[in-house]
Amino acid sequence: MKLLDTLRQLTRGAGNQRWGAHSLLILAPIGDGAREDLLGELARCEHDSPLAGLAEVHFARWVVIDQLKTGFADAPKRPSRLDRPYLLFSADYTPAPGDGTLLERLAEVGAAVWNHCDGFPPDGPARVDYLAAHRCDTTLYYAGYPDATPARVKTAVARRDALTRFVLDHRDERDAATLQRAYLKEAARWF
Amino acid sequence: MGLCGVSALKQPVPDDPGDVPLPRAIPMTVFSQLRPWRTWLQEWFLRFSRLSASAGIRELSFIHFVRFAIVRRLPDGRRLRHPILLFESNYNGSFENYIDTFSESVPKHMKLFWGTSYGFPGPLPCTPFKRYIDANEFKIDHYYRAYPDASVTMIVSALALDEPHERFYRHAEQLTPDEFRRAYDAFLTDHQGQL
Repeated sequence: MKLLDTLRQLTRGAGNQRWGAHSLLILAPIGDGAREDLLGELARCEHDSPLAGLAEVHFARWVVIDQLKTGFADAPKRPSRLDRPYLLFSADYTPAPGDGTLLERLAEVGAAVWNHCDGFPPDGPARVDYLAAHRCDTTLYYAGYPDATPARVKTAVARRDALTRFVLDHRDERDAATLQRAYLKEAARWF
Repeated sequence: MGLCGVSALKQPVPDDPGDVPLPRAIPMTVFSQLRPWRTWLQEWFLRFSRLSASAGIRELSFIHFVRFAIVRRLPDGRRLRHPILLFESNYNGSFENYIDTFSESVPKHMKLFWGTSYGFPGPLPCTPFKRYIDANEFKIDHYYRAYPDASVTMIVSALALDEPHERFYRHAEQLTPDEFRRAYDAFLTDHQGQL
């Protein structure tokens, strides 16, 4: 068992990153009586997500976990139970060089949500410590495009779409000089 | 553990044309409870299968990001009777097609991912497995997508095209019109799979 513990220590946290892509998981208890207000706050986020301010985040979610599920065949006879609801947060992100710590900005932009978690400090660096203390490691992580930041993804997709439209719009253009002028004029806006 | 014979890109079967178009990224969050005397096996399989599992998932080409996490003790210190396995995915297509494609394309991976979870019926046939996932799936209360309209295939193609396209653009200014025409046609031919 000592060998297993040593191996576990050596590989701990290694699943949180896949090349340039990072996985963040936070599991925090919801404060007593705060569940309904929290759901209200999350509903308000649908119109204006606070996570849009995190430029390195591809996808992120908040999930209220009221209780672990047992409504299936061969469920454990004595299942794990939560003694209170929990808030799960997860994010897939690819930071650019120079980006600050995601947790610092997440504590700030998500404060209106985190405030419903039991023990979340009212202000200051302790908020970041709270989020860090409630992190869970990812064991296996897959990223479809691990080294591209969200900005690079958006730019590349926009350029591809623009080139596709250009090719279709000029597919009947026979004059090489006209085609070249049109391409250079359009592409100057893409690059 | 090798690939399960998947040699071609796998995409979920498109829905009927009359269906409402789906957003390009759909979230899934599933918790299952692990049989405790096999948790160590599950954990080490997940830790050491990162390379082979990634290759198998990449073949499916409709998954943006996916994670598995084993939680033995809650971060606030509360211990769990059974460790829990968290599975989260961001994928294109519908739930039905997602599970169908996963089950049929990489059944060995599915057995190894969920084989130690209570109630796992096996990946095939698909219907009991879909019921199992549905029974353990949690509603997402807030989901943020940085690029809601881009599928995995669109993104991977666009990223592969971007640098060659910029090189072509930078060079295009220096060409005569006839040279440009030939280079333009060759560029489109070489990169037609990414357009």
